[in-house]
Amino acid sequence: MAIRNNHWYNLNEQHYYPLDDTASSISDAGDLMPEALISDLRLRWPVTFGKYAFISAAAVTPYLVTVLIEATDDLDNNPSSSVLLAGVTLPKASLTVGRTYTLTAFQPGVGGYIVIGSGIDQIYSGKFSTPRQSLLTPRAARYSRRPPVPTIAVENAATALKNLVNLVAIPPLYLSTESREIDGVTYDNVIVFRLAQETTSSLTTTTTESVFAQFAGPCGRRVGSKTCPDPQPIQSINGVVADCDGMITLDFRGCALVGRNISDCGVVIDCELGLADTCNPPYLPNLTTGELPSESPPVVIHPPVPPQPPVIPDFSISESMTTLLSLPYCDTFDDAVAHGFSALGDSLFSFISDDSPAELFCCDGPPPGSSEGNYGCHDVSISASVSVSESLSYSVSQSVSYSMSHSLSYSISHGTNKYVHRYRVNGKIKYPEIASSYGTIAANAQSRTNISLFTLDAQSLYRVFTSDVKIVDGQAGSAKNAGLIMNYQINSYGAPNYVVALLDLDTSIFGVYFFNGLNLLSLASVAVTGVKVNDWYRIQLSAVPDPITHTSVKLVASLNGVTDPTISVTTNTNLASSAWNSDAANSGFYARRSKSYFSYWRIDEVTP
Amino acid sequence: MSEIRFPEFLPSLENTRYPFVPTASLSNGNVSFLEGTFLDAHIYAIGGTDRYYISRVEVSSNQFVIVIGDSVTATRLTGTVSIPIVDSVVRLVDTNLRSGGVLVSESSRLALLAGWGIGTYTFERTQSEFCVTCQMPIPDPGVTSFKLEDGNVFSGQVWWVGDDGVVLSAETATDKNGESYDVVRVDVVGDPLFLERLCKPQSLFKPIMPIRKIRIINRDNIHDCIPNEQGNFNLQMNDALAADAALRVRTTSEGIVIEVAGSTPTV
Repeated sequence: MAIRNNHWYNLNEQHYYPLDDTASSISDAGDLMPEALISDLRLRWPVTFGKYAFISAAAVTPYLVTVLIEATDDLDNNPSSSVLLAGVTLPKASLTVGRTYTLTAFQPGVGGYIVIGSGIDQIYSGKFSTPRQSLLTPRAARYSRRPPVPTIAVENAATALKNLVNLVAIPPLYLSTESREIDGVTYDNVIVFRLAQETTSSLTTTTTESVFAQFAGPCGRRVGSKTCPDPQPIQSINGVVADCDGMITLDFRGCALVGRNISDCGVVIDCELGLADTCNPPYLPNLTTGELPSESPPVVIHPPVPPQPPVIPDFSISESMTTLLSLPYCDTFDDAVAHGFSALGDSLFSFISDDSPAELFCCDGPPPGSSEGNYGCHDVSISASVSVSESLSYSVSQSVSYSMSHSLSYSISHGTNKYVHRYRVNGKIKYPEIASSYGTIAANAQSRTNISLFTLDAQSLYRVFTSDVKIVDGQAGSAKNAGLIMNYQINSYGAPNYVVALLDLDTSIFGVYFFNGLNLLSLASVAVTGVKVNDWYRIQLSAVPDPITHTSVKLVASLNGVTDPTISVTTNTNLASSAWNSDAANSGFYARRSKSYFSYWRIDEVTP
Repeated sequence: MSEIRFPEFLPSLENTRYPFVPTASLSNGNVSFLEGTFLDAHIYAIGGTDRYYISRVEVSSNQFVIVIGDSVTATRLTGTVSIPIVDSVVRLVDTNLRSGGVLVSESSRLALLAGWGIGTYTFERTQSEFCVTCQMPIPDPGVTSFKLEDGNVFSGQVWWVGDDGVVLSAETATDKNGESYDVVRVDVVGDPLFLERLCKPQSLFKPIMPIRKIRIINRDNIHDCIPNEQGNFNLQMNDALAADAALRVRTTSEGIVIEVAGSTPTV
């Protein structure tokens, strides 16, 4: 029975496969190569050895079968430039026809297989010098291009990797598979190299410990990444950041006079305040008298001789009975004692023989016997200097009524304090012969802010405080101001807060200010013309709850000239209850680096 | 009966053992491949050697897998055919799922294997070896692929991309023999602006506005100052208004001290 279709190997043995149809199959000696010598062949070689592969030699001896393959770029191989690519030599004794044998490669990148056919029965030996004689057909032999990536290696490393290369990243370097759009085309075969913070440490890592900062190095620090070394750059001052143009504003006020360096745009600050203004006087001898400081007699203002207390019926209900401060209250300081006043901190207050010509006001009040009372000034006609001690001058019930209705918290012992120090002679009020004012007289006092608080009254609300003040020239560079304080208290931050009605001769401004613990904030102010040193002025400051809003305190301050009666200004403002804070606070005198006198101290009740 | 005198390649080999060698038995004693089950084959396994053969066929309820071995391993390539069979070509892949060849057949011919029943059918090389012409030698494949630790294998056109803190660049270097070679340079440089880059959403990042200019206000005088050439801004005091000026502006190791000297601090 005929075979309709031969197997591939059988077909190949019937012609000169794997030789190309254009090959002659004739050796250099003129012998025809047996058709059945090679049943099948597969060869690949790098094209760098030549485009044409051909059998350069084939031999079949009684014992061996040998096939050699070369390659050249010239079909005529002229001049001879062929390179031996591969070959096989098989002993006939172990040769199996139709079995696949691997060709032995003689050049890198060459490989292939061969199947020897039944033609080995014919002894043959032939050499082929050109591809034209024994060119291999492309199906059997194909050259290859150099691989696009022959090897991959770490630079200067001896070992080069090929085939499947494992990429391993050691943290903090990570490799991941992602899709990326590159030049408008989305690729899925993308290996992304990136740094990443290890998950276990990401929660506790600071910016300076960030892996990105570590690898960025010392030159990679950026303000925005907070990686600059300490100290960190200043981004704001008191929470004020630079604007988008990078500008921040410094506002110099007070005594500061700011100049500008033309050369480098620097700032020069000048202040007229000298060391003489800020330091205690040197403890040196007086050059004029030669007296040592310790030998200089202190200036002492003697208090007036206290008059004998009048004999009054003992109507006290108890020997230990105490009474509360009754209003109006007045202290003329003419006894050189500021009753109940306490200089705050290192404030310096002392007395000087000077008085306001209108000190009479201190004891002004309704006519004796009127329903309004006598404003604390007794209408007792005495022929001699008799102290009108204010001890329970009113009826007990009236005192208690005042104290209770106005929540006065202070109490004083019966007969031990004088509320008003004045005398009446033949029905007319006379005053102690020694006129005295309380003030910041000492030179040292003019280098600091001086506050003296009246501690016998701990309330400022429903009060009007009055005093006549006089401002004189002090030490060189000293300021010129005087004022009345009310509602002095220490806030929750430990800083003092208070309201002050202040006359400032330096600026000719009279106003009401609130001290927030750091600065005097102007609540209301008015310019006053004609104010000058050595003149007496009456300052009044009152505080009542605002009758309309009930959420703020209405402050009214007035300034009236005593020496110059044409001066009269009044200003008022409201202070928020939050700033006013507690009603339990003191009032008193205020002078900042100024030599200022206070002729008397009067407290009246005021109603809204 | 008419006869095609010069048939095409595949018809010319029909009813022969091709693509197996003529000596292949095509049977393991249990099941057999019929001549013509496969019409042709082309095997080019990356990293493969020679003498490829079907080492086993694993038949399951919904697919069968043809496993190709070589002279080194019995599992070099695999080809999966889903049941019901609609494919006529079995695509072979290696263990890294890289393409490694094809077996040409027809769905009706492949149905023979499905008919063996569920199980694994093992073959020897002598029973199912492929012809040499079906085997493509790959003697020097070069770098064929990259494999990451997560198992992903990249072959073909592969992109390397440097992201957060990593910069990749291509260079050309010359070896000691004077031959140039390509270099992929990996620079791990960090990222100075990583806070902004990593901030998500990025709008949450607030850039710092550095102080570049200082505006000086002194009563009615206003002027703006910029640093000098050294980036410095000078703040000085003067004694023009008071010979024994109490104002002090001095620089310490901790900063600038602005004070009024004296022994009588104010309240």
